[in-house]
Amino acid sequence: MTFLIVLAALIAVLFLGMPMFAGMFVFSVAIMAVAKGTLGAMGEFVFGNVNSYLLVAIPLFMLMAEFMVRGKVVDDLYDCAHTLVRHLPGGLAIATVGACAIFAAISGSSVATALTIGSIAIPQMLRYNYSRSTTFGTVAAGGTLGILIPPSLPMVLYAFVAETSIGALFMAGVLPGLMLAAMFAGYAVIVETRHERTLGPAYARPVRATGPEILSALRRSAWALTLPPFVLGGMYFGIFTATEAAAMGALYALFVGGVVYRNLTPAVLWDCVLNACRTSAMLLLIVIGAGVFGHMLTLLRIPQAVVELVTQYDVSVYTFLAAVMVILILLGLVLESLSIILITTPILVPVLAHLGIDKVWYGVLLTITLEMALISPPVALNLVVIKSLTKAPSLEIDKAAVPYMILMLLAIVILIAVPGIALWLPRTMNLVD
Amino acid sequence: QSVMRLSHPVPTGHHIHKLLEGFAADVKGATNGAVEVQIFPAEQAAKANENHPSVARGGIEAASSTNFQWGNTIPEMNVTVIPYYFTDLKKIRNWFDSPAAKLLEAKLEQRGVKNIMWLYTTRSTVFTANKPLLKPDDFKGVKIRGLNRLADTALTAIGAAPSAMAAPEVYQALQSGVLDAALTDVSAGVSRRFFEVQKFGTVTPYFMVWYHVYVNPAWWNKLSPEHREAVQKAARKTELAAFDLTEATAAAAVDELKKRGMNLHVNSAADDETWKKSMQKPVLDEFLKAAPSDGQKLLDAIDKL
Amino acid sequence: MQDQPGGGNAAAPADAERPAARVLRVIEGAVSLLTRGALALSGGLLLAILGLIAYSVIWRYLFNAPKPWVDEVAGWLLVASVMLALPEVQRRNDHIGIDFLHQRLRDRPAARLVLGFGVFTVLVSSAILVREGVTMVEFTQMLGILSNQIPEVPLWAVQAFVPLGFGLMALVALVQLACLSLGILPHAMRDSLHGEVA
Ligand code: NA
Ligand code: NA
Repeated sequence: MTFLIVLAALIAVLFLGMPMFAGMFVFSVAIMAVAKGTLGAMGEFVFGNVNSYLLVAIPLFMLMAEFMVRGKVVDDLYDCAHTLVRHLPGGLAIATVGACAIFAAISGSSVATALTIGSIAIPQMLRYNYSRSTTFGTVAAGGTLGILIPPSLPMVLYAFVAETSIGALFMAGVLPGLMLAAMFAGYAVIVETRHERTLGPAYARPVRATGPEILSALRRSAWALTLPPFVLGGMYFGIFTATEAAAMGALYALFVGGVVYRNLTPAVLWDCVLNACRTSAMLLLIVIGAGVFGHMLTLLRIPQAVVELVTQYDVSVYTFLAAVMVILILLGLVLESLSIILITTPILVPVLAHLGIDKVWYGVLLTITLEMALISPPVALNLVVIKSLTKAPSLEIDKAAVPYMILMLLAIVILIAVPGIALWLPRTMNLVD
Repeated sequence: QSVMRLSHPVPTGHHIHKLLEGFAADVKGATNGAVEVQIFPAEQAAKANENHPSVARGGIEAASSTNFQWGNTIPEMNVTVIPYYFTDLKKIRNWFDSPAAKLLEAKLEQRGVKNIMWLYTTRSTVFTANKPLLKPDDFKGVKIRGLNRLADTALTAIGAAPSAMAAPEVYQALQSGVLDAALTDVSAGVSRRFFEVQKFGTVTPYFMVWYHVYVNPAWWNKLSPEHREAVQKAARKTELAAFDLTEATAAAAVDELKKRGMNLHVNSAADDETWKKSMQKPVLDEFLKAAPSDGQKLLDAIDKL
Repeated sequence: MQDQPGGGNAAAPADAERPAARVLRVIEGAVSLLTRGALALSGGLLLAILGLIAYSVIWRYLFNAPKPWVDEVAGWLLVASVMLALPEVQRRNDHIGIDFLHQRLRDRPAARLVLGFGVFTVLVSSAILVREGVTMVEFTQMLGILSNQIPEVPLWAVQAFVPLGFGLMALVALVQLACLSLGILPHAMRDSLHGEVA
């Protein structure tokens, strides 16, 4: 109950329109000061939150995205996808989700995925008369695949806290990730087919690309197409860690954009660097705000109380999972992924063992709720990305995300009904029992 | 009623967490609930290296850290990572209230925290890799995840290339080959599932680890004398309980690693002697360099245990 | 985010007449120089991170010698880089927030009130973090806390970027509040009221 009141109060406060970082910070600090009379070691908390080698990947992936975008490298990649599917109804939406899935396999972060693909896909989709809601929705939701399709920073953290296999978890994310991508694309196609009719008889969908056209598109995007294998391959074949892959990817994108495409002049390059700095600082401010909020909740044992309530009653696996999913989704309204993992996992793991629930399987369900958190207002990093790319009103973006949240919910139900979708691949590879 | 919020970095499945839960129950029983120990596992309340300032400043009342977490701040705390120096179970049992323990407790007091408990955590180290690491020569050119700067001098001395890496990244690094090898406590080898990505392991009493528990001194002094005594009694009971549990956990972990298909070699006393010869001296020298005045005093006190 | 000519900005013509306003504009300009300088440093540090990681990869593969200190130093550089970028984030009002109220109020005077309230919460947050940051630095010095890989680099000096970054952020917020209270829209904030276009 306390939990719901705190949650509602925070949301109410944030609706006053102050920067989210400051709102969460002041709100949490005020509660801590009243309840405990001390802020604890707040300086160290903030310092420790930012001073992390794992977070270094964020500005580096941002930088890679900037280089790829300003170097006009991704344009060709996206054009290529477009050429292949443009004659289909909702073809660009398919291309966008597909590009998100490919980029997700490079990046461990959903924000980086939405930012990179969004900066190219949004103008294109709007240019081809796609509805704004489909445009914003596919990019925001497609971007969340970044943490479900491996590599994934939150999965690494969950596996660490839950003491389960990172390898198994990564593999378990692959099929659900592809399934979700297909659901996003399918939904967008249905909506856009209907939207096309409202455009009237004057609207003509692009015609199917000819063989030579496709060949030429592939040739133009050849360099761009080497980027995912470079980063992905580097990581999977053990040349780089995730953070190193981000750095090497940025350098490689710099090479392609600067030397091959010759679009990155020193001035543009410097602009990319400054943009990456500002975007990362803006994001890490929210990570700090959410961190302090999560810290306050933890110290007051508010989430613990909720979970203990759930675990007290001798419930069935399905009731338990349903309750946990509801709590995770509620937390996801206002917290970012890392805080949700840190707050809930240590309390839930013993219960999972008690109920005989597979930790890897649960990890996949958790990751999908984290994906929902990324597009569920008011605190939703991927919607923030859309906002910063388009300056569109928040309400419009929020509305665009709703159908995709429902699709994620549907995916959770499907995965609960058919655990094999997540567990088949790791089982085949002998990574889980 | 007093609340002791106790932060520690290990997951809830770890035997140290179970010991601390027992401690919490004992304190509650002995004080009729007047002192409540609230445990925050797995870095929930503070990251491992924020525990010290958080407790010293009263943000939380207590924390548990490994002794080597103190790194360069209290170099003497590194004494247990000197290879084969302090891994004899009899010596470890004689630690409590000894001059050696008191020396370190005084150091901790100077850094703003009061130590109340030393929990014996492990002395069973496993070196894992995808090739057998049976003698010091086998380490030549091996990229290995080290422990800390001091302990890594032993690895450098035998020709390995130690690397520091955030714990969550190690599994992937081993899987992908960014790292060739790791050294860790045997039960961590199980819980972090190194057996999935490493074929061989060598078990040896290479170093020892304490998880020690410290509290905010101002909070401690505000407790009534009876409550303080009750906490101390519970602490001692937990310290003693740690021995059986840790030894049993290590034995079970070795069995589990074997069962999971890891090719395990358990060093003989003669093997240990060979390893000690090439690995102890460099760390010992570095240790005395880092702790010029009290390092030798501590070593002497440990020799007498 | 591009600065746009402030359409419908009623305060603009009045600026020239009031000396206080002119003084504030000069201060605003000086602060903007400061924040952009800090951002340039932040950019340099990000490039340093990039170089550092590339260096460690190269050493690991070409010389089989991993550099154990790189991870820790990269974390420090990240802290410094992020903190130095904060003031410019504030100056451009690049924050993320729920703009429901802004949307409703548009050009009405109450919109400035909402904007001012937001800047005020930033001022409060950053002031608290300056105080907490300074306390942290003092504690690190007093308790003699050293870093694990490179004790030669004083940890407090790295931590000092926290109060520094939030201090500059507080300064920017203070100037913005002063502007708003005199009815002047801070230069880079015009978007916040008028820039709602896709
Ligand atoms: Na990914
Ligand atoms: Na959310």
